[in-house]
Amino acid sequence: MAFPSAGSAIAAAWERCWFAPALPRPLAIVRILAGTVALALWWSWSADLNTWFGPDGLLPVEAVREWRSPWGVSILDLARSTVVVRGLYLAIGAALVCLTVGLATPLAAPLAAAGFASLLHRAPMLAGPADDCTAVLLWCLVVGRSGDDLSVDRQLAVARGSGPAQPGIRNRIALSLLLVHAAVIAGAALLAQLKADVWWGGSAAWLLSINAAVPVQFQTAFGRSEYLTDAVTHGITLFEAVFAAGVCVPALRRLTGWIGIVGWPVVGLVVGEPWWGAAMAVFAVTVLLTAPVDGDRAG
Amino acid sequence: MVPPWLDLGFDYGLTRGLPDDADHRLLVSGRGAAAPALEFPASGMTGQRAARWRRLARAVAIDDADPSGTSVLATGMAEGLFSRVGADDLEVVVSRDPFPERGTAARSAPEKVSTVRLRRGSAGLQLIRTSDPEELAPLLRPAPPLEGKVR
Repeated sequence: MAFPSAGSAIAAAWERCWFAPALPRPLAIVRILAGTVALALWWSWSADLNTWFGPDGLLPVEAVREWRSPWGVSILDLARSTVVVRGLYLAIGAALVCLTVGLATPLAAPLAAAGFASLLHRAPMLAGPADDCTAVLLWCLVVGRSGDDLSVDRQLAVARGSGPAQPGIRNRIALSLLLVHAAVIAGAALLAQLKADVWWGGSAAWLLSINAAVPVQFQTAFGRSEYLTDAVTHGITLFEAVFAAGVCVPALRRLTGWIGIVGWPVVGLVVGEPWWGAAMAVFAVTVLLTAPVDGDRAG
Repeated sequence: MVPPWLDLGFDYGLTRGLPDDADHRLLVSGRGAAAPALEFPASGMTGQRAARWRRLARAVAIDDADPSGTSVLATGMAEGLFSRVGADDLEVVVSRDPFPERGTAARSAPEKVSTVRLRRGSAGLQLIRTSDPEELAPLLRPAPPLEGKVR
């Protein structure tokens, strides 16, 4: 009967997608890249840390609590002195370093994710799209065993005579979560653009180039040519549509991954959010690394 | 006052092409002063650091634009601004760079989006939205009790 076979095919695909054991290597690469991006973003808070969060800072906890969502919590809410603010900030940085190099990863991953989220919740009005995407990357890494490869943990295990890293279901779940978020984020950006006239009319790239964070060369180029502005505007929306759809088709993931690795940093530069482009490129790396190899139909 | 976590969306800057999406700047000066004492982002600030200050300025403007709100951010920042500027009567201005016409090289002068006056006195902290003169001087915090100081 067609119905039971279709049902079992869907069940098998679901099983492969979420529960087929996966080697830790792809997740380890994502861990190193995501940790590096997170460290760069963490560092960007350092210069103004006390101006914002210090005892006589511009963003006292009470005011931020009124402003942010009621379930937002942050360990930095407890800091009432400059020393404690600085100490907690350094502890978050230490957790991110441990995650990046893969030292005590099972502990470092949740601490790094919680610490990074804490930083964002302490002052959500300062957080941008790069922060949001990086937080998603870090939480997905908590699920898998990313420290089982390319890590200090792995070197220590080898020194103790441990065998090669084993595939695990948790790794597959983490990778699939990353893929789902990659598609959703690209799709959400696309939908937001389709609601705006400037993206239909082609002038969005011109408006984007006015942003102070965008290299002035873009403004010059877009100012000279309407055709270029139109092409870049529609190219960005097309790229996002291709990426969001390509992630969902295992056979297209290799191509989609390469397109994303090149495309997201470029889009990030054009929209004045280079670190957002870098975070999205990490998602694209995940897409590339989860592409089925020749002869593998599982995806 | 903000959407829940992960409902923030990924409609990154300028996806809507609205004036609100333009670069914002926070200017703080003593009342009557000719030039701002503080400017955020300060000249020379770049990258994520400057972007965070621009986001803060935009958030203050959106907060101040809410007629039913109490400008939580501006009042929250008051004590820190008083000590940094060294005055008890401040003007906090949020300005933004308007979008030029397509293909036009000339940039218009920044436009004021929000202006509030923060004053600290015997009556406590006052916030005055200078764009709404009919709402002058709502008392946000009552004066502290004089317990122990009355002889």
